[in-house]
Amino acid sequence: MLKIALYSILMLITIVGHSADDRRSRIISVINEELAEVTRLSQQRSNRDPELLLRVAELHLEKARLTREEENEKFLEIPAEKRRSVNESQYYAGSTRSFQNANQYATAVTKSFPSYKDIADVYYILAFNARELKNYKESDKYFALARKKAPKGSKTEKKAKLALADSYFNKAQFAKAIPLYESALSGLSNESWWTKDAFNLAWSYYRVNSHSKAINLMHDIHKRSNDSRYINMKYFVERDLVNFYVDAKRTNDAVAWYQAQGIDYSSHLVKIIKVQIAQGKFTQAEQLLVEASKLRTSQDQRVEILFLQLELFDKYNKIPSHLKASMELTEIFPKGILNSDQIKVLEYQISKKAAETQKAAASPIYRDVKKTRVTRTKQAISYFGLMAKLKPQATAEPIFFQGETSYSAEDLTGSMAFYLKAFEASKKENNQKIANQSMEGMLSILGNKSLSPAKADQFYVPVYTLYLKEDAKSARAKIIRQKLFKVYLDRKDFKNAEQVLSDYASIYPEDSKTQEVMLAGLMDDARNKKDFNRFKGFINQINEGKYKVTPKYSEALRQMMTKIQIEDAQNALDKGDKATALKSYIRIYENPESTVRAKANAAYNLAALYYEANDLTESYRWGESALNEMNDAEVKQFSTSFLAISTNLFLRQRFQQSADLNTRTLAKLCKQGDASKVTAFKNAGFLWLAEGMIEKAEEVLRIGTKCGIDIQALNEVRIELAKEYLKQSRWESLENVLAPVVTSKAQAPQALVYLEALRRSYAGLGDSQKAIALGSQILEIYRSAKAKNQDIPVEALDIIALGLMPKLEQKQSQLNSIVLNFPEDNFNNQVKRKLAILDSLTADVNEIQKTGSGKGIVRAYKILINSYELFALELSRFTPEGKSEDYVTSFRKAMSGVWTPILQTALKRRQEVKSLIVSNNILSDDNSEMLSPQGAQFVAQFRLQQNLVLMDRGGAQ
Amino acid sequence: MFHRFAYFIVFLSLTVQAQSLGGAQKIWESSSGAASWRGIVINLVRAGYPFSALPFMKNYLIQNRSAIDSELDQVFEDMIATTGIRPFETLPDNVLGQSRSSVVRYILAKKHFRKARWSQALEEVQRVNANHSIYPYAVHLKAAIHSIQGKSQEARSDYQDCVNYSRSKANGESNPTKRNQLIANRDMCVAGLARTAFNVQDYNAADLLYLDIPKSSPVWPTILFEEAWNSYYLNNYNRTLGKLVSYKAPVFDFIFNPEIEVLKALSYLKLCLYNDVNKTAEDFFSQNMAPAKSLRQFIVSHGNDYNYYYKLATSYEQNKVAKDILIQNILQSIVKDQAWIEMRAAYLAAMMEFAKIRDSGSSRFNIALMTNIKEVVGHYQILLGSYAQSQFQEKYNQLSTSLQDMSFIKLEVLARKKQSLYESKNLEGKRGDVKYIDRNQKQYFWDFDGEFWADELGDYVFALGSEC
Repeated sequence: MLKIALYSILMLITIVGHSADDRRSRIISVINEELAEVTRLSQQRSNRDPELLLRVAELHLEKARLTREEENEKFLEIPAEKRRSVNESQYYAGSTRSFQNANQYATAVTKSFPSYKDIADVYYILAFNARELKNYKESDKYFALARKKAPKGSKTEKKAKLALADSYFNKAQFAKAIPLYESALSGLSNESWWTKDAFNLAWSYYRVNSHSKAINLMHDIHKRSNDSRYINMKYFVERDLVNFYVDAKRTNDAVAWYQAQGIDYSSHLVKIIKVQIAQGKFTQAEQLLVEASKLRTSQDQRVEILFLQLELFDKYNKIPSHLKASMELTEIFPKGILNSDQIKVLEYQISKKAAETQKAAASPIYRDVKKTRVTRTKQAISYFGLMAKLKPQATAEPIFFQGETSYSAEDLTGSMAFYLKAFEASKKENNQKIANQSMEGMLSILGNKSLSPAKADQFYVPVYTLYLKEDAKSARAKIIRQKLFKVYLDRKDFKNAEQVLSDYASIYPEDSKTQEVMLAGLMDDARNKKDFNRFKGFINQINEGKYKVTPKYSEALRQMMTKIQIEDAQNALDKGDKATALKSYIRIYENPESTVRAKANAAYNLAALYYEANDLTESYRWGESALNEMNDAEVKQFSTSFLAISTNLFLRQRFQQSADLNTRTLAKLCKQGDASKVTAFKNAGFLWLAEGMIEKAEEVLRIGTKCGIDIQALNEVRIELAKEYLKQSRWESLENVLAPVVTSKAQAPQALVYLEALRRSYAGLGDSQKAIALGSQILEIYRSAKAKNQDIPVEALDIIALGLMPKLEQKQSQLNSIVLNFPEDNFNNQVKRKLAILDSLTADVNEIQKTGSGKGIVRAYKILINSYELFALELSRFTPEGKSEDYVTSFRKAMSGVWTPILQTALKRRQEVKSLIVSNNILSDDNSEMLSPQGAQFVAQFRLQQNLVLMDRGGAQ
Repeated sequence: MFHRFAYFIVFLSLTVQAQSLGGAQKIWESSSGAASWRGIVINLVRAGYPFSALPFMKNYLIQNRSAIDSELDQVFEDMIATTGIRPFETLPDNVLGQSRSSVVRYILAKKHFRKARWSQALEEVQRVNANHSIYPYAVHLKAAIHSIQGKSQEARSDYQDCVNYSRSKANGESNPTKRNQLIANRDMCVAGLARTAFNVQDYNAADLLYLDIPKSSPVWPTILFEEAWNSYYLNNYNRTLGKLVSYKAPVFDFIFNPEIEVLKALSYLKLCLYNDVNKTAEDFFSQNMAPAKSLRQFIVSHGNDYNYYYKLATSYEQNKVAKDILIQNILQSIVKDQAWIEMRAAYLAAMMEFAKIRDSGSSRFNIALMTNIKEVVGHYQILLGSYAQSQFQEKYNQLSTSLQDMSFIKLEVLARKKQSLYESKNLEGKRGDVKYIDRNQKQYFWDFDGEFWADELGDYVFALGSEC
């Protein structure tokens, strides 16, 4: 059988270098292939070959180690902050699985093949595996088993011993480690790693204070390290031996030994210092440094001293000294004397201290300790300055940190200077990250309330301008542009402000709101300076579309333009200089450049001014113009003024002008909810009627109907119109105009008189049907009004009452038509019937009395009284024919008892009606008869007087 | 030990003399017992009925404790030239041991040899008379025993004797069958000489000795593989690969030897041609892994059913059809194997003899003879089936071992690859040039143009440079 040597698991090679990842993954890939192959092989042998099982275990272990390396690297790549919170086992799942596989196979061998010749190797694997999994207790157990099972003197036994010794060494159990090291190393003196393990033994001796043994062994290791067969541990020996000598208090021996080895003593003095620093013996180290410094003259030596100082002062935290050494080294740096390691150390030290001092400067601990805070700030800034010098090709970042430090120390002005500088450097160095951060810093400063306005003002423009160069269109740039505009505006640098606006409008054409605000600022200025051309220029630019504004704004601008135009006139008016105001308003009105609003305003004010000046013609003229120019809302605003002007015209009997202004006002107020509208309506209507201009009044009524004038006002004008129609016998117009009034419950009684006229007209024309209908309508209106206790015009009451008279007159004539005569029974019946009629008449009179019509009441009483009196008279005068006188006398005597109370009742009624006439001031044609002592015999006469003046409603003759 | 040696069964060839069947019948009818059997055997063998005589001869050996007379001894030798010695190996050791006949001694020695009883085998073989015609085979057997016992010097001497005796006897032999058997025996012993040299790691000597075997020899195809190994040990991997490539020739299609691929991979490995190693290994795995599993199941399922194997092999001989390619290859190698051919020839001869007797009448004697032949034929069927079964078993073992070997080779490549990765080295390199070809005085060099010429087989040489 072909035998392939098994790969030694002790060959622990760490994969490092640029292509480490690739190489590692390729190795793992090979291992996977090996695993597949060995597993196949083992299965072919029914898994009964322990050697193959061991091989599988070894391969899993090897894979586990490589995977662990890779996992370690990946794990360490995680930022420290995040690393603390991640589940570590997840990152090591791959290697853990492989370790477990290795364990499983190795354990299987120990269980199934306890007598396997290489069982010690298996335990060795298990031990290593456990160690990798940080299970040190189990690791030691397996190493012990490996040691026990391994053939005496075998390599495995030695290696197990060494592993156990290492374990004790790591646990600082040096006394236990020493015999194991000694035993293992005694048989392996030719092994290359003897020096490495012996080095641990030497340290173990040293730890148990066997200094001589430790030093001697170190000498041996040093010597053997010269031989290429051994791992070269010279560096470590030379590094550590100093410690051994120092602790053994054999510094002279140390110097002698180092000299014997041809090693520069002074350099080891430095090493001793290093050791002392490492041990925390800072005072001694510093003293030695002073000594060493005296010995040194060359720059190399100086450099080394300075580096030691750096280290020492770092540990001591002597910042000023550390800074001084750092500065000196930074000065040396450009000379190219420092090697790459030294440069790295210097960079590390400076950056570390920069970070520390910066942190301290910003720490709340020093918030109230200003002096320390200032010191730390200065130190941090100095360190960052040094960092910039060390990396002249990457200065932006340290300068930025200088800015950050200043900022945290609240030195905003200083911080701004650094940020600006960092920004500039970052652009040169193409470091966009720092450019962004610097810009953020600068913006942050500008937003800091602690920054004095004067200082802030100093920085706004440069910072914002820089920002906009970087970022022209973002949302933030938008705000910056607005801020920049404001800065220019505040500075009254309108030219630049306008430029900002111009840029803004071109970049954000849709943002009309901001453009409006900016425009407002600039236009205000133009307005204040009365630079109307410039103002107009902006408006033109808006109209041309350069700037976008809302219609509302556009309107506001127009108003502003108007305002500007009328401003002078207004001012003159305010000062009481009416003449100037008049001239100004006329100029505005006549100026073709003036806006409609300005013109309207001017016209109105002219009307007002002329009104005040009592110039009726001009006030009417300008009032008319103003009403033409103004829109409805404006008219509403000044409606009382227009009413005042028109009233004035009315009072001065310029009815037509007044009516015209009222009509125009009404038309403008048509759609406005304004009380003046009704006044204007009524005024116009009444005035046109007064002027006899029915068509105009009809027009006003039509407008009023359209403009929502309330029905009552409309009806008032209609009733007035009805009078005119009645006067002119325009029955059709009268009927039409009354129609809406009749339907008004409140105002219908006002129509009764005109309805009666109309009724009579129809009756006269023979249209009795229409007349009857109207009569019924009149009565219906009357009753309704009466029932509601509404006011009914007296004329209307008279009409109603007189309408009832025919009924009375009919009864009167019925009464009169009954002629008394005998025989007696007839007579009695006739008297009876007449008394009944008188009762009925009395009831009718009561009804008429209820109408409240004075004329009606007097007439009704008159009929009633006359009827009583006539009946009494007839009874008193009646003489039965053919009867005896006694009979007659007896009859007369008996009749006297009948007609006397009747006559007394008549007299009583006469008293009643007199009282009514007097108490109610009733004027009636029948008064004379009722009041006159002569009664019906009195006849009144009409006498015309020559000097009387008759006027119509308008006062015209 | 990686390399193996095939042990050839040595057959003796006997001259058949004319004799009468009637004579034998007369003796059979007239008498019975051991005395009659001698006459019957002599008559039947000389009349050309060796298989009919076989049971009589076995009976005679069992019954007769005295030495075989020279006449019968000659007849016996003639008989086994046709029947082979296997039918007699079934006789008990004490029966064979009581005979003083050189042939019987040889049979017994062979029986001991088969059972790895080296000293007993050696004892018996040493009792074979050097003048007896079977001696070249006996001395061959002796050399093999010495070789196995690690007695190289004795082995070399015996092999040399074998070569000398075989050559000498062959030169005087008029019977072509016997002469061919002697020549084959000689070639095997030449190979034995080479193997002995190989065993003592005298590879240069072995190299030259192997070349003494003519390509016409039936043993040469097998020996070629040993030569390849020898070249390998001489670090002449290009020649190893060249010899192995000869097996690709159609003429060698009957060779089933999985180790050829293993040695090929190993040679590539030595030349650090890892891609070639991998390809060889992967090809081998893909071709054989699954079939090997099937083969194992096949073998397990048929156990010791010799009859099945007999039918399988004989059916294949006629139809050339098998269950799968691996079984076909194995069957092809079985039916082309010298031992199979000889046993099969004997079996056919027995069948022909049976037909001849059947056609010559139906006397009681004839019926008895036919019964005898039937018994022999049955026995041969078992022998052939058993042989085929053992070959299947052996080939499977070879294949299984080769698969494992190939895995180890692959692991070695992976280990080296990994090592180089650890050391950041590159394993890849350039291939081949004629300057790497190494020849000795008996070899010629031709450019290989992809065709195989009979006279070139075994002489191909690769021209690959080591990438190590």
